[in-house]
Amino acid sequence: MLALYRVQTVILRYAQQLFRDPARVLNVFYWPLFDVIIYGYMGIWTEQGTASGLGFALLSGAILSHIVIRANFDIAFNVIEECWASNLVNMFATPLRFYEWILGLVSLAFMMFIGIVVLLWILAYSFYGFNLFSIGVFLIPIITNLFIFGLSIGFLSTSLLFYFGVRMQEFIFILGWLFDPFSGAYYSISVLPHWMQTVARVLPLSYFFEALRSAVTHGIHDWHLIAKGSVLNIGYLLMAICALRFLFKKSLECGLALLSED
Amino acid sequence: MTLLRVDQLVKIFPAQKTWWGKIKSPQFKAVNGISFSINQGENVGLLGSNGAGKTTTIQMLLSTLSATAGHITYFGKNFFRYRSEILQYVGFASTYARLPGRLTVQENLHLYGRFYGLSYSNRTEYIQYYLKRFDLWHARDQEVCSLSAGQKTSIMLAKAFLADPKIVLLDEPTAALDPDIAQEVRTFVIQQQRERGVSFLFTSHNMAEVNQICDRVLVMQKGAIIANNTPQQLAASVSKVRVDLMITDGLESAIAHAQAEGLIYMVYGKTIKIEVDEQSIARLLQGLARLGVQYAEISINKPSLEDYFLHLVKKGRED
Repeated sequence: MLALYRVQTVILRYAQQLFRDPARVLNVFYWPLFDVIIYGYMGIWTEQGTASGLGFALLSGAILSHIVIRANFDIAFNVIEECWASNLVNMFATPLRFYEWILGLVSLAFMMFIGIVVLLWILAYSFYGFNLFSIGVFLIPIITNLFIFGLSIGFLSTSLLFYFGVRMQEFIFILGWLFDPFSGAYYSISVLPHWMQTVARVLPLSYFFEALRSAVTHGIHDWHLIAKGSVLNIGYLLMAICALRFLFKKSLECGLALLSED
Repeated sequence: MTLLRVDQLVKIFPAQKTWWGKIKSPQFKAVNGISFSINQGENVGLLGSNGAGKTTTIQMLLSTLSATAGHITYFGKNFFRYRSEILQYVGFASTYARLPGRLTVQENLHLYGRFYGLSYSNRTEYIQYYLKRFDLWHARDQEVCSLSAGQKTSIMLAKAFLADPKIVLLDEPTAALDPDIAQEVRTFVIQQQRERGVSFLFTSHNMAEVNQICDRVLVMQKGAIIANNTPQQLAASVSKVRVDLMITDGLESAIAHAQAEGLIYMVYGKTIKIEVDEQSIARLLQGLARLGVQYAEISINKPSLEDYFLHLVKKGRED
């Protein structure tokens, strides 16, 4: 016979865990909000669009935004895996230095980045006859900068893991996509409300996607946008590296073993 | 030659707060100014009840937990300054740390061998030696997650010895193991100490184990080292012996007598175990005889390390 008190206990068990973890609460609300923003503004932008190659601009933005997300995941998820495996203590009980570990993670992410670019190029060409490299060498600084920004997010994700432990894993999922609505990957940031445009202007992503869009739709290679975005990008990277170093040291105050505990 | 020297080591864990700022646990001093040293070829046990600070100490000795104050010196070098160079010669195994479960035994050991800079041929040779030593060669291509607890412990030990360490820190390596496998681990540790002159710092809750393999024991209580001596000397510091009597008639009288004399006793079925000073054994037996207590068996047990530990815990609770 159905025992309601046991059903209540099951609800209580998961609700307690959900509301004790702000990242999980955020996860509940973030994705509906994300879809509304992305698809809403994408609709507005395409309605307004008159330039040729709008579809390819959308496609290239959507494709290249994966470089950012992938770089974040390649860094942060390998760290989460170490936490899940309770292996961090083992690794750092060897002569392994912190920066050697990070360099290893970045190198792997770089190899994955090359693989992803090649895969995306093949897929876009096979399915839509769209050649990513049709804009020439101008694509190289764009994709390199996108990768670097992905690394910055990856370092930020890892910093949060060091400080809060694996309970931040839900937030790491969100963080990869957190900047997407402001990035202008799927639409021009001119369709966004003023406050979102302000946020977008302090993010390097908006400059790279704007430059990509103008190259795809109008054939204009705006190196000025790339330069502005690159300066911001380097600033973010330096801040992310400082956060990573600081919070790793901070995590040693409670011990690496504690990071594996939910 | 001193391999490890610890001076006035302190660990204070900061207060833990929830994300809305409520304090989950207040600031806590886990290790309170401990000092000790370990010589080459010496096997030192770190004893203490749960929360005494043993694992915290081990973690600081590996730099996976920062020390609040104090100094750690390995091989005459400052550990905080020469961490990477020093850890080249320090092995570690713990019940509480795990290896990546989806990698095979060999893959895991090769990875750790690489961290220590071993060449492929050296890694292959050592891995084969240790896996055969632990009778795990057949499991070399199995994923670590599919192994039993005992096999995982053996793999951890193999990892700890892979790079020919001068000192190995073992954090409760035999916890949760079957007695036969625990004995195998102890035999291995003793063999490594004798044959290769490796030093050990060994934490355990198993007193018989510490007694068997440790030359010296550091006893920790509430973050401080309260004793530093050989297991035999520590046991001898407990003045009482334990008299075990299997009573055939008059168990209640025996209990009443122990209570009247203010003696510590325990009853297991028909057996009563009474703690007395060595010189009072005759008086105890005379008293029981006067009350008509009859017993089929008697054994007089000299104090062991376990008795010392139990006394210590009891004293700690009284304080």
